[in-house]
Amino acid sequence: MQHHLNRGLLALCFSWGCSHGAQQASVALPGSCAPCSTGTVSAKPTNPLLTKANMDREKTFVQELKDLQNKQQPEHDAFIEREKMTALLGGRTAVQAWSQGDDELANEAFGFILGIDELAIAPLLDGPLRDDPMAVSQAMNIVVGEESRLRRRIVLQLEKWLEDKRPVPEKLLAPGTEGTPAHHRVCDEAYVSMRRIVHFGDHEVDQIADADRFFNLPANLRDKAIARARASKSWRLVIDPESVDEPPPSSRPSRPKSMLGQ
Amino acid sequence: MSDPLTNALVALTGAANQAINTLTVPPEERLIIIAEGKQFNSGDAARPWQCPQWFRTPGSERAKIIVFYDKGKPYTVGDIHKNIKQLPPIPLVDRPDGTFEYLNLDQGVRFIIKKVQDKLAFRDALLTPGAHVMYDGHARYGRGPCFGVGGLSPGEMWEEGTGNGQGKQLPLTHPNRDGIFRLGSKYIAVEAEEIKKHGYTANLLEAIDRPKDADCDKDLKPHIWELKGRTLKDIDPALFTAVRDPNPTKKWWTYWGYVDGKRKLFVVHHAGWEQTLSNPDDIGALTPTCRVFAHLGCSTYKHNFPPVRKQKQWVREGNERYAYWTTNLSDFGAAHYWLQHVLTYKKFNAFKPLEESLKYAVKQSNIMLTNDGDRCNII
Repeated sequence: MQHHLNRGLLALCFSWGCSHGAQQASVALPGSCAPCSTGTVSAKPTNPLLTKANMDREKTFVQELKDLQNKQQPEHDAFIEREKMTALLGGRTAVQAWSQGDDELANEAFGFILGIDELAIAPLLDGPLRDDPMAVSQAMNIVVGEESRLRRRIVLQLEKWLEDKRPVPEKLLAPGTEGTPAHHRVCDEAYVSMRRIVHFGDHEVDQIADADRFFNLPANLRDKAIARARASKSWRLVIDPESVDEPPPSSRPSRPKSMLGQ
Repeated sequence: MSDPLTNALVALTGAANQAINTLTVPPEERLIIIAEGKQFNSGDAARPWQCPQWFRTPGSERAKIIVFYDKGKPYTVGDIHKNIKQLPPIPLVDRPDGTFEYLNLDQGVRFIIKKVQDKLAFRDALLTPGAHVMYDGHARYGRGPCFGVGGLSPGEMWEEGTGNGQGKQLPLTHPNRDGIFRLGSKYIAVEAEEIKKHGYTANLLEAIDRPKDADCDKDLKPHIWELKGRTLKDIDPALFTAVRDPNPTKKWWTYWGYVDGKRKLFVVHHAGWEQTLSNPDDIGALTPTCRVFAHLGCSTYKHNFPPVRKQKQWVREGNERYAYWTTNLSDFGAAHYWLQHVLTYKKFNAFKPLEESLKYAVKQSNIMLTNDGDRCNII
């Protein structure tokens, strides 16, 4: 409980914009910083026993993964299910405590939820939440805020991958497969992924058909399409909102434009 | 009011395992019909195994089967789909009528598995209430499941088929046993060279009126305004003997597109899902009463979801009319993972909606396909 309580405080620091909170939260250990009135800031773990436990856990986990190599699917499934439950346990328990606990516990639980960043999304969506407008409002803000931050991180990473022109190896296809697989580069997939993430409203069928058409173009035409898209105002708005003076009229083009920018 | 069937207790002995002898509710019986296409029939050169029998062996054994040789080097099932090796065996039991059964006690379901390899049987499968129909074969670029024999051998089986369905070769009438069961958009564009490769008689779209957007396959839509009328001579003189109308003065819709970076001439075919040349071998001529239809040929989501789900309006209703598609080129992996996971889902779901078990099959199949490096997912 002490651990959760400290994490909750850190979470509050984070939600107040304190960068220390973010650093601390990332090591998943209790710590201290100015807004928490404990005086000092340290990104290092303060509990060496817990660190050793984590290292042991890592070793065990890697060993379990190795052991799975010769096992059949039921064992794989059971392992994944167990680890997934473990990973979600803190968030789910905190959501439950926030929803059902007494005021003090609920307060700590909410602090914890605020501190676990995007890890709060699934537990909050899974619920159950407290049935009052304030709780709904808070949950909504956390879920959407974290999703937006995560999306932003993805966008920035995709932008980096757009520079990567290495080919993605083709999986061997069984002979006789109808059609010819198109060769992809990392940047091509980054481009298509970026379109998926920023083009709301396109039906998945259209996204897939558009992506197929793009992947089948010669490399020079794919490069041109990527360059054209990156130079567009809507694209720059996504990558660097401050570089664009005025927002576009809508987050979506008025007519679904093809990936070729034609 | 509870269903007396589900409350009844019966003495149950698993045919596959004499050790199972207990009291339980009677299992729900579910029929799975595997429809195999012209190429990829069990046992043809590209499928050196028998489906579903090979599910009896552990995945580690299935993975060792050699699928093809390239420059003398053998390539196995496991080289193409490495995750098959972790699949457990499924104790399928032969039934006297040539079908198979598998009792999954966790699910409370007895699966009856039937394999069909011709179009008439596929049509019947679609019209079998409650059946789970899965098609494993070529999608014909969206035109529809395609039946026949002879593996990759050329001929009319790649299009309209042969015979009259009554064992006579002529005149060609529908319904017949081979050829395409149509469930694609009205017009579909395919590389012109595909006609020669497969050796069938193509039904090209004459360049009179430009096709309407709503009638075009997803791959054709972006090219509607690029379409250009060309004579057969301009397309490929070899096509004079490969089209329904060889008139040398007529022009046919074509466009230049790309396949894996290479420029290719595409021609537009009459295809469709209703009132087609193949009627009643099209989905417009019937309303499937099967519960599940999984079309696991290549790229069926973009080609066949719109005509079937949007135009035909064969849409999900409660526990009926589930449909599944593929997102990219697919080989045997999609169908293999699909069937394995439908059969081995572990939660009790007898007399309950199929949704959770099918979601499981989608998720697990996609995990394995993606882990194999496959770009195809089931959707």
